[in-house]
Amino acid sequence: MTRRTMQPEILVRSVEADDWEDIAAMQESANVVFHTLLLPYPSRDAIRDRLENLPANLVELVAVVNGVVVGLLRMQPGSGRRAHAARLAMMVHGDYQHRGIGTVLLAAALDLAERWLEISRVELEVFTDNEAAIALYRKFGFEIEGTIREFAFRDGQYVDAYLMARIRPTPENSGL
Amino acid sequence: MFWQANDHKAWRILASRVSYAWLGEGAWSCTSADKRCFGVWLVTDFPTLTIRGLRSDDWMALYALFSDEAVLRETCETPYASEESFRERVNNPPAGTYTLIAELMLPSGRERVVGAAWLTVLQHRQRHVGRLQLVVQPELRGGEVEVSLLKAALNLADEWLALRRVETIVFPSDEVRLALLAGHGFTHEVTMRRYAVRAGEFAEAWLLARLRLATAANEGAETQ
Repeated sequence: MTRRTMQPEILVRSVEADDWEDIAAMQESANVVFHTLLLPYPSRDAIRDRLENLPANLVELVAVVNGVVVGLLRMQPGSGRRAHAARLAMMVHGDYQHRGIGTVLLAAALDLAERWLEISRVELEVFTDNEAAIALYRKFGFEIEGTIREFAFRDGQYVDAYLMARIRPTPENSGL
Repeated sequence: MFWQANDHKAWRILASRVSYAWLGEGAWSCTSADKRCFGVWLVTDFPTLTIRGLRSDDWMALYALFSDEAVLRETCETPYASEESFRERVNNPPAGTYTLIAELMLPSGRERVVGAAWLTVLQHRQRHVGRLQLVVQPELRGGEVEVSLLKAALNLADEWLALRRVETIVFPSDEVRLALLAGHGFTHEVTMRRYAVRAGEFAEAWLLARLRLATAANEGAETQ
């Protein structure tokens, strides 16, 4: 007799062009549209084209559960005088919330950023009412740096967002 | 023909429909289309400031402006940019970017570009937002050039593009810019730690924004 109390295994890997159908399904979920800057009715062609032509330095990781992509994280390092800073955005399929998928994805991305890409500032924008996401980011040391008023239009209203950032916690980050 | 610092109503009329006539002896007349505003400017002693749109040969002046370390310090640009990159910027500006050029007409008749403003309108669910960047030749910072550029950009944002939010990023050591922005309804929203490398250090930067509705409400309250 097997007891099915174990969480399904979450695999994190880089995105592949073949993931486009799962990613399209995720972007079509109302929950994802609500908490991101995506629009309803995404073009599946556009999603596929984007994945086939990703910019060279973009980090894009996916979380896979039972062979299906249910989470996506994008991290774009800056350039020139902002090469140490990266901008992050992530989404988890509406049917797979609160299962630790965001935690696994974010841990992988921060490990990559801070231990391999020499990034010392990771920043993101999050709607001020997205409490689950804010709690996740706080857990990873992100701090609210300020409130961006009327950040975006959502469901008929202008809504605010927090700018949150995590500074790599090492003694070296005080200087160059 | 220096703009008066707080004469933005006259400025708006000037910017919209005016006809100029050269009166000779270093004087221009200026008449608005509805004949309600008429003025004569003597330009013999003062350089004339014009805010105008981008021209394809402006890349040379912008390249020179961005070769100045004092200019670079207040931006996120790096030194030793190529001429080609400026030619490209001028000839193929990104969609949604409006470029304003501040040009002085010297008494000798020579024209000199002394500043620029870029207003970039964001897309989709952020198309009510404009990002503003101002650059002024260091010797002329804090004067008419900077005020005129900001006013022209805000007029574009308010009266022509109906943007609700205009945001700009400033290093907090730039007190001249902070004072100017505060005087035009911008307030501090975000302190971004370790924002960019600046003079050998990681410097913090501030995100400031001006909401059109809040600004209009304040102006209404002041006039009552």
